[in-house]
Amino acid sequence: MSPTSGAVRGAAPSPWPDRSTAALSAGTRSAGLIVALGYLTGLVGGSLVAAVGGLALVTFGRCLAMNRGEQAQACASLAVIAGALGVTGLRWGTLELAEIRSVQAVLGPTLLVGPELEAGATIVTALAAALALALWLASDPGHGVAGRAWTGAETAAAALALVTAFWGPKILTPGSAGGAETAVGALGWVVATGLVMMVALGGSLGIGSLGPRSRAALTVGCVGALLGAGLLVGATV
Amino acid sequence: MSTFILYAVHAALALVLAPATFAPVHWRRGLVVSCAALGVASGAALALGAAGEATWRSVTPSSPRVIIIGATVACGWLVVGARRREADPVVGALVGVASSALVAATLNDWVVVALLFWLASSLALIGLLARGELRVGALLAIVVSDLALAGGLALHSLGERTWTMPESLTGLAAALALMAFVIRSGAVPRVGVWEVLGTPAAPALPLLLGGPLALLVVPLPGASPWLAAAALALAVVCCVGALAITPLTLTLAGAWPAWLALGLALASPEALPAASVAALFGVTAVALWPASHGLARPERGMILGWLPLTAGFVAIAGVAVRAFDNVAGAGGAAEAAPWSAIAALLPVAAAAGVALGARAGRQTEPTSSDVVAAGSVWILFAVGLVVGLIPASSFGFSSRDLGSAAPALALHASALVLGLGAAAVAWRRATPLDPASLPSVPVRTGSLGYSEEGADTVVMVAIAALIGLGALTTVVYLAFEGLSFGFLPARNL
Repeated sequence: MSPTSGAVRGAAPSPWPDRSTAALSAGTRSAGLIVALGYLTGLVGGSLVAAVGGLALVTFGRCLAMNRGEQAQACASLAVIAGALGVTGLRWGTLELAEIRSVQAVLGPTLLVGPELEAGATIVTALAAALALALWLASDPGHGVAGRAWTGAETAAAALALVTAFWGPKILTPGSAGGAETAVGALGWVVATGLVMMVALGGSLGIGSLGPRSRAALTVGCVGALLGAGLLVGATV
Repeated sequence: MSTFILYAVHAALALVLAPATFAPVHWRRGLVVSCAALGVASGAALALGAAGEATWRSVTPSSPRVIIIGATVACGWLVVGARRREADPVVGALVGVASSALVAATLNDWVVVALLFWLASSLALIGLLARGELRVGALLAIVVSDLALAGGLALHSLGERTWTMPESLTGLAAALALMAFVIRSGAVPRVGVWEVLGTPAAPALPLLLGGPLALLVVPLPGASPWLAAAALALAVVCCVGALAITPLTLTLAGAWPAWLALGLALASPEALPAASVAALFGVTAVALWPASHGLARPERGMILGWLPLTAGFVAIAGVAVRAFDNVAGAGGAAEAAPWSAIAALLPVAAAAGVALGARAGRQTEPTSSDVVAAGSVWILFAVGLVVGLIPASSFGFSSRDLGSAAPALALHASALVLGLGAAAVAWRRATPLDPASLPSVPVRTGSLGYSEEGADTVVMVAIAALIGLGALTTVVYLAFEGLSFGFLPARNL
């Protein structure tokens, strides 16, 4: 399956001005997905910034099939998601993915750890990020079955980034915990990621019926919420 | 001796090219391309292999300067080779002279010698500007920048009573150096050095950016995180401007890497090599655009956008982590404020880069038939990907910034290989639109700030000559003062 295969089957007019653009779009979307999942699953140690890099590469590949307005919307959404992940890192004083998972394993999900004001700011940040993910998805939901499935995989990677930052504890390996505990932990990740994906998908369906101005207003709202929450969290560091 | 060859080879190529003006056209083309290929290889060898080599006379190939200047001259020669259709050996000869002079200036241990070589490189670049129609705005930008640079370094030398190149600059000297960088590097869009875009003098663009990057950005970091935040904000402004304006204005797109490199280097000295190389590649891609329009579009977009898997994103990610650490470890709000601004601007810059890259990637315009020019963009793209694979720790960032070296390298290399596979599948299966159905929108290249109608060229050239004379006088004064008071360290006496 390739990210461009939906476009090939004729479900919609080809978005490609030439073969080179189609090829680079598919290449960057695939490479970005690998990079993002490599860091987010813990296969490779690194920071949230590296995972955002994978999402940026995916966004670039998607943007190559979009018009200018859709490109702006997708990139603004990417900026909000990246900023939201940064706000979470600011709460824990680290951008290191392993440290964020570990601290959440001890203290609980970032969303629920007090003081109340900071927890509230984090919830606002998470909501802004989820809405941004919906806007990101709505900018180009994909064409054809294969294209939509590929977009779904990319959305799952973005959702996994949000779950890692706002909710996810470290998954205990079978060596350090019982098999049941590991399975429950992994199931929790799958359910949480699926939930964020559902929210994004539902949001994108709603956003799909909105005009460009309403979408721009939603993006500005996300940015405003993120800035406010970021300032609040930053002031308490 | 071996490093001396890498310094002087460009001047030697100039000696080969200059007499070729009188050769038949097809000979000239072959000679220009051959010399350009040699120049690119020599620049790459200087960047990759010369760091840490012994000092030759007063030229020390210290890192990161040698990496930056090596990449600079390689980019300059790449543009010369890409414009082979013009088959103008004089352009190549002037690039060769400017390259050797820039290498000797930026790697020099002594201020006076460095400034003399710098002025020599400026003279060669001014000669380049005069090919075809004289670009007065670019001429003025070069001489004003030179005067500011000479003034800044002279202030430092006179204050410290030393001829050694400064490790750091402060106060007025730093302000003048920063001014020199901004004017000469192309950070000011649409005017000044951008007048050469789309002209035979286009190979000057990478040299004009790389010289100040190599010479000045070493003593400037640490000046102020607020300056870094301001430079990053201006980078975002240039990028958003390029995105908003129709048709795409190349000078705005070209100013964005200059500001971004400056901002990142001011925020964290470790970012300097990666940011400089990314900025040079970005400006070179812009310089190649008029010759390769309509070809290699998405590749050019990826270079311009500082996207992941290229060197630019390594610099952005490294500085983002550094800024974040500084916010978390700040003693108070005043200390945290500039780093917070930097941390907040970087996601915006990264996303703006993605948007700019995508816009460049989808820019439909009349297609050039110059495959050599497009091939130069592909070379830049491939080298950019290879440089991006270098672990962040090799650039001086801690291993936790972008992942520990070996696993991160394995992941990025796997992503690259799988990406190439997906690209190959998509290439075969994609059905592109009929080119006739696509809008054909030419991009906007450089424009003359001072045309024959706008100003008296003779007067402007006279003013430029006076300013240039001022720069030379400053250097001569510094030399005499140094000789009078003894500005050489005791070990050199």
